[in-house]
Amino acid sequence: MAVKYASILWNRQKRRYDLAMLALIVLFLAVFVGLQLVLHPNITPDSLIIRSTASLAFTMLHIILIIGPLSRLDVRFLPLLYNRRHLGVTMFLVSFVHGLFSMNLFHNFGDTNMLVSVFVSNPNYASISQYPFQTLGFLALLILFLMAATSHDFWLKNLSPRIWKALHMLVYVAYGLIVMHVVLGVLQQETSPVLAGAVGAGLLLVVGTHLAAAITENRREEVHSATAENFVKVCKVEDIAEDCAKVVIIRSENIAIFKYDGKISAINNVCKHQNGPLGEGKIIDGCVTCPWHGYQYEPHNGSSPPPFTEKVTTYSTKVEDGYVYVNPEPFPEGTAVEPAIIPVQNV
Amino acid sequence: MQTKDEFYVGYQPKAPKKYGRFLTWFVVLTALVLLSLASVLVWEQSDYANGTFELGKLSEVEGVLRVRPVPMLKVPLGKDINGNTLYQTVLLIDFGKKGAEEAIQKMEAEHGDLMGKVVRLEGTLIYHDGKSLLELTKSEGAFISAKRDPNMRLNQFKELGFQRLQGEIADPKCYFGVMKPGEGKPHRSCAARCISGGIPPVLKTINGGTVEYYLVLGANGQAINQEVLPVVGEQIQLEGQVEEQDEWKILKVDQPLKIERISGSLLPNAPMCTPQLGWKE
Ligand code: HEM
Ligand code: FES
Repeated sequence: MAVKYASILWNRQKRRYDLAMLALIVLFLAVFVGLQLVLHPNITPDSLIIRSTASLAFTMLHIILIIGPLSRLDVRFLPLLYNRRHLGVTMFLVSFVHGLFSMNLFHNFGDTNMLVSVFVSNPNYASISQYPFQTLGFLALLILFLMAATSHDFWLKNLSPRIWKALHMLVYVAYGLIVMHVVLGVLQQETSPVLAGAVGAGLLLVVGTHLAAAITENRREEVHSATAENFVKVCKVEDIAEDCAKVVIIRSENIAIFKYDGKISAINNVCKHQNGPLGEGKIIDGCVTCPWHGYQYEPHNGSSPPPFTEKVTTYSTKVEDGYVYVNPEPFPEGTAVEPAIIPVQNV
Repeated sequence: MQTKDEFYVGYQPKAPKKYGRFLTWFVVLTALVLLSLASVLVWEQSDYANGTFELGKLSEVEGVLRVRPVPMLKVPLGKDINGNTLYQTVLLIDFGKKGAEEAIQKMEAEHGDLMGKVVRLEGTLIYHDGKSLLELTKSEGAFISAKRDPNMRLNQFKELGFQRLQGEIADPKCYFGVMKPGEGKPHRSCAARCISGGIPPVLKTINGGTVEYYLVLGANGQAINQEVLPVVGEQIQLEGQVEEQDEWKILKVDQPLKIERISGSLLPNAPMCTPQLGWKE
């Protein structure tokens, strides 16, 4: 297993990613804090920390959430997706500072335990405008903590990708909680329509990019007429670029059909690592390479080259009259399938 | 369709040029968005009250101590042009979210009855809008000395009669300077903690642009902190007898307690800049 973690190394690209992230964070904080001190010199240090970290963390969460759909819309965003976990862990740390200072300031040094106070000091759970919004922030922080704590691939392995993925889908729950935390909290006091508008615009951005990505992906799901032997006609041979794939969804099988070395092979489109789209990857050194974090699979048997053990399902293919066909009936994960040979005149 | 050399995998040390240029633009654009966003967020928020909490600075204050119903210190500030002594009555509270009763009981246990004596205390000053408070930062350790001075006495309360008042209940400690914002929805839980911890609740009313503050007590001068807890930070109406001692008004709420919630925010956040007698603000 040690080999596996070592395969993702600290490299120049990652350092530049982190540097850019830090520079942007510093920029945001400098403008926010500087302007506060100029426009609102009365602000207390506590409020300055609480508000600047809250605004920064909430902004970062938007960026984290839109990177996924953006890179599905345009592959040039992919480098942002890779290493996104650094963004996530940093975002957690920033919101942790906000949560801690809020709890300390508003709930500590009283007649009730600080954590208990978060939940009981405002009992108006039945009201909307008076709702104890801090509790929503607290739950969101808990989710962010779980995600940050399990962000390493060690946990991906040990929790199994399905559970890990489910856990990390909770980020959408956290986002919803934080939106409500802001709407029922600070927006009840700061009534500027511009601030409410900014929260709304953020929500639109997140929902909009996800919808756009989903719509683009759905376009691929063309209906294909089944022919004899269950083979489904997919496209012309020349519609697939060399070392690239065509993705089709047939009877809910998500299939990536690769063309390489005068051959056609089909494997499942979903990467075992974090469900990355293998069909958007390429064949590098003879292996299908996931665009997200670079996991590799051999095209003819859907297995990662040794010592790795990841396996995806495979499908049989054929080429007839210059057309590519695939049988959507999956073989068990890692089953070797003879690639279809492209007749010379079609290469 | 992409060609082989344009494909980028995260573990490769260097992204292809096409990615690099694109991402540089993306980072520049993000920087501009963040710059504007941070500015707009700060620009659009309302200003903070100009209360002061002299955090980290201990001051010694001497005056006549009132232990009941609410601990206060009546401090001579100087003389007016007619030679009359001017006073500022300073509300006392403990460190954290706690009233000063317990600290004063402990002082009395050690130094005898203090009601009406001239007492010297050390603490952190909080002042805003003509009102002053002293946080006994070291609790009972705030006591420095006590003496009797027949020339300095507590005033009698002035009766102002029955009044029906609308406003918001705040905790004076945070409201007058420790926290900003020290009122309204986000601050509500904190105010509840403070009032639950014995800091006397204050009703803030706004009448035609004039802000008034009333310490809220029961009809017999007893604390009703727990009773008002559920409506802290909300717009409410209270009625009862109003008394005045120097610049603090006290509302002795009629029993049984009648609290009416007022829907909506009737009371705008009026600017508060009525300079009155007080520590330099
Ligand atoms: C223990 C958890 C949390 C507590 C007790 C808490 C408490 C608070 C409080 C009291 C405020 C109002 C502060 C003010 O008036 O300025 C606030 C605002 C806010 N919170 Fe939280 N929060 C928590 C977690 C979070 C998390 C995880 C986020 C994620 C980004 C977040 C984002 C925000 C934002 C964006 C605002 C509005 C900006 C502001 O007023 O500071 N909070 N929170
Ligand atoms: S999803 Fe991470 S490598 Fe495929």
